[in-house]
Order: sequence, then structure tokens, then C-alpha cells
Amino acid sequence: MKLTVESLSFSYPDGPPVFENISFSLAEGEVLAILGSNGTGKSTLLNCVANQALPSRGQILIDGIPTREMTAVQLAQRLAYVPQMHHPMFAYRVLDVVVMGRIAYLGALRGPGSEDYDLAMEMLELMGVAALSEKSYLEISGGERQLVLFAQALTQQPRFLVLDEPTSHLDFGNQIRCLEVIQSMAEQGIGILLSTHFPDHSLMFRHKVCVLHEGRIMATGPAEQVIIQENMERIYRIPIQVTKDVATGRMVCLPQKGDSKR
Amino acid sequence: MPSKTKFPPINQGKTQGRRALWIMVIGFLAVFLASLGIGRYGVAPDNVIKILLSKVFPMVHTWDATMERVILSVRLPRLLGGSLVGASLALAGAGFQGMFKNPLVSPDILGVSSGAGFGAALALLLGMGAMGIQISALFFGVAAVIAAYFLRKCFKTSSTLMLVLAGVIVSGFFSSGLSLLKYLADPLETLPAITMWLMGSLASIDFPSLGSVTFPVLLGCGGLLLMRWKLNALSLGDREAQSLGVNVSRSQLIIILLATVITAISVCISGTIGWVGLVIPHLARFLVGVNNNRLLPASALLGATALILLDDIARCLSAAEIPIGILTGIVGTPIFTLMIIRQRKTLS
Repeated sequence: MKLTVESLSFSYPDGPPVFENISFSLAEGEVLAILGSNGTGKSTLLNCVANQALPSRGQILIDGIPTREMTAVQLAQRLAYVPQMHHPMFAYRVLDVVVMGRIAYLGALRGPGSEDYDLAMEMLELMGVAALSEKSYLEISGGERQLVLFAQALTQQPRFLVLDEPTSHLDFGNQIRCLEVIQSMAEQGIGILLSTHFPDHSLMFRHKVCVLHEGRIMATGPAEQVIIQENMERIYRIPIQVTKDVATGRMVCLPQKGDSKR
Repeated sequence: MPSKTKFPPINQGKTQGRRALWIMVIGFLAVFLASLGIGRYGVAPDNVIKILLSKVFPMVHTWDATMERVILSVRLPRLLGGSLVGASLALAGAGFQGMFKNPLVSPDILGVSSGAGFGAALALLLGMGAMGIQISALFFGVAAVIAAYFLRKCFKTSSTLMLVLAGVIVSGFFSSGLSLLKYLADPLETLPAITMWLMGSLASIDFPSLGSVTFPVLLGCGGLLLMRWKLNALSLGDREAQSLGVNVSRSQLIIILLATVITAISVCISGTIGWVGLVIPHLARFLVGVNNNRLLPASALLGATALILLDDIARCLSAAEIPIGILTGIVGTPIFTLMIIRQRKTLS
């Protein structure tokens, strides 16, 4: 299965285009990270891919079928989407939140059965947060909530996963733990599209990277080929050193103080 | 698989919730039976049960005809109607609170009550009969919600917040219309009639009027109960629901439609009764949790029980009946305050 984005453009009514002519494809088991400065339309792009926003031109295909022709249920069985921040209003039990991932399989009016709860529990265990299952969704931390939402998305048993800045609200350690979880999900054959503000993360986990700049794709390819000084300085408009860390042998981005007008 | 070991608490939660629901069913039936005997013409419980059973089984009549008439022709339709109204308002409130992701929403958020109030006042002003008042209230109640729904379309957005805003606008319009009608009404006869109607009462419910509303109300309530799993997803957020595979705009339309039908019909047979639709879902959430799977049936049961209990007070407290809309406010506001205090962590 393949997720293909074909010459996608998006503009608000009577507004300039947010992005134009974006094309890429994502295979199962692959992680594609979208890098770009604030306001380049990363979230809008992901929203379009997840059918949350309507592109003004272009289309998204899953296995050759345009997602726009799919019903909400058909799309949900193939693609799950975890938005950036979730502010829940009601104190659902964590397990009840996770089991909602089964809605696309339950038909119009049926509720989840014990096998659905089994699967939800299994996914919570896979995310390492099974202990939270009986807790209130309002009383767990932001990092835990992220993992619970991953478990919910996995309970949907999708082929593709769209994650909007999955690491942005997590602490230093949770960021890496979260990325490890993403890696393991990809290893199980799920294609993952995510947006991020951390080029180092993509270098560390050898993501495929797509650099979005001023509404267009500036570069696409393996992290080490794309995350280079020239590209990083252009999109973030600060001096950035991309060097090999001696201790770990890994490429890292080091932002420098100063001339921010570049 | 280790997940099996985690199963007991889940099942436990399930049976606890179920037990709470069964207690509510029994509570409702007990209050219903007791209420049949309560009133200015008191009937002993054993006679109440005998009179009811005599309609099914042949029995020797050991009670007088007045007793039977009071129970079967006056109180039974009133209690059945009160149960339907209470269940409808609470169910519509719980449904709207989930759909709007806002626990402070009540069933009249989209203008159904102001529309119905306007319709009833118009019919009273034009000197229409009881039937005309009900039809006019129903028509304008539904029309107000349709207006709010299409007003949001004019805003070119699908956000639920804009729908609330549209409801506020429509409510404001019909409230002003109602004030205009009150201003025009004859202060000696029509104006008091309008005021009384707006305060709400179950007194005018009889079997003929009940006969025409029972089926659509039960259909609407049943439909809302069937939407409970979708409501769970919708209450997480529209985007979340969409990505879980819920057709958000269609589900919203269905919920609005069902909630409006049952609220509008309730209002047209009982007048505007506030607070039930706001407070009962909170009480239910406190007792069975936020999962709509249990919250919706619990709200309906508690709503029905609460309204017939309040109607008992309305009937018994003084020689002249107190309008029930006043009582729901007086009893509802302190309960709501307590609920807010208990839930302030979630609400702020």
C-alpha cells in the first residue's frame, strides 16, 4: 500500500496559497518527517492529507484510490490522525478513549465488544501505558496523553498514521521515547507522516525528510542528505552548524546566536 | 496474553454502571407509582396498584369510581407526559453537551424554547385553541433551530461554536418577538395566559394529547440513544471524531434533528421548563460517568424521575398549583451549583 500526495495546493478563500504543488509518496513502514518554519503550512498539509481540510487543487491517493472518494469510515480504516494538542472536556476513562479507535469497524449503531476492549488494552500495553487504562483521561500528563492517543490510533488498525508535531509538547526524555514508539510502529509496517520542529530527531532516527519552505518543497530525501547547513539556515533564518558529533558519530544541528536577518 | 489479567476492572466497571442504571429504573417506577397516589385526592398505594391491575386482570372493584377516574384519567396521563418531557429534556441536554463539547449547554441552545414560546404566544394572541397553541409552538420551535442551522451555513463554517452563536442570535430574535407579542397582548386575559404558558405546567396533559406525541418522542429518544457511541467520539472533538471514522456533519445534523424534535414536542405539551436539560446530565455524569453509553440512558431515567417528583411538589405544596418551570429553577440552581463545585477541576 502506498500513500501518494499529488500536486496538492491549498489556499483559504480570497487568500494567497498556503502551499502549492506539493507531491510526495509514503510507503508502508516508512517515516516521512515534514520540516519547516512556523506558518509554512505543515499543519494545513497534514490536515489535507488526513481529510480534515479540503485542498484547493490536487489529490491524495491511498493505493490508487482518491481519499476524497472514500467515506469517513473507509478512510479511518486506512489512515489515523493524531492532532497536535488535545484539550479534552470530559473525564473519560483512558480505556474508553482508546476503544473509540474501533468506531470505524463497529457499524452505525453497535458499541464495542470485549474483543474490541482486548485490542485497546493490547495497544495500551504496546505503548507501555497499560497501567493508565482505568484512569481518567483528564488526570494524566501531556506525555501520557500522547501515548494514549497513539494507542487509540493503533486500535484503528490503520496502514498510515499522520502525526502533527508529536514531540512538541513533550519533555526531553519523552520526546525520544515518543520517537522510539513511532519507530516501532513503522517497523510493524505502518507508514508514518509527521511534522516536526526538530531536525535532530530526524537525523537521529534516519527519517525520510521533506523540507517545506514558503509553501513549496525545498528538498526531499534521507535526513543526512537534506538536513544540511544551507537548507537549515534558509528555512530557520539563523546561522546553524550541522556537524558530526564525535562521541556518538551522529550528525547534529547546532543553532548559533546572532544575525537573525539571514 | 497479559491483557486478560486486566479484564476484571473493566467488567467490574461495566456491571457497576449497569447496576446504577437498574437502580434508576426501579427508582423511576417507585416514584411513578407513589406519584399516582399523591395529590389533593389521596389514594392508598394498594388501591393504586389494584386500579392499575384491574385494567389488565378482571378484579372485584373495592374502590369508588372517583378514585379510578383521578388515577386513570387525570394522574396517569399527566405522569406519563411528565416522564416523557423530563426524559426528553435531559436526553437532549446530554446529547447537546456531548456534541458541543460543552457541559454548560442546555437543549434550548439553538433557540427551540424561544421559538416555541413565540409560537405559543402568537397562537394565544390570535385566540387559537389548545391544539392551535401546540402546533404553533412546535412549528416556531423547529423553525428557530432550522434558522440557526442555516445561519451557520451563511457564516461559511462548520464549527460548533458558530452554531452556538447562531443559536444565540435566533434566540435573541424570538425573545424580542415574544416581548413584542406580550406588549401587544390584552393585559387582562391574553398576557396572563402567555405568562402562565411560559412558566410551564404538566396540568393540561391528557390522553388525547399524549396519544399524538408519544410515538415521535419515543422515536426521537430511541434515535438519540442509538447515537451514543458516535457522541462519545464527537465529544472528544470534531477533528478527532472525523479521524476516528465518524461523518461529523451528518452525525451533528442527526443529533440536532432528534434533540430538536423531542425538545420541541416537550415544550409544546408542557410549556417552557428550564434547568432539567442542563442539570440532570450533570447529575447523571456524577453517578455513572461521562461515557454516553451509560450517560444517555441515565439522563433519561433521572430526567423522568426528577420531573414527576417536582410535579408532585407543584401539585401538593399549595391549593393552587405552582408552575413547574418555577420549581425546576428553584431546585435546579442549587443542585447545579453543587455539581459545579464538585467538578470545578474539569470545568476551569
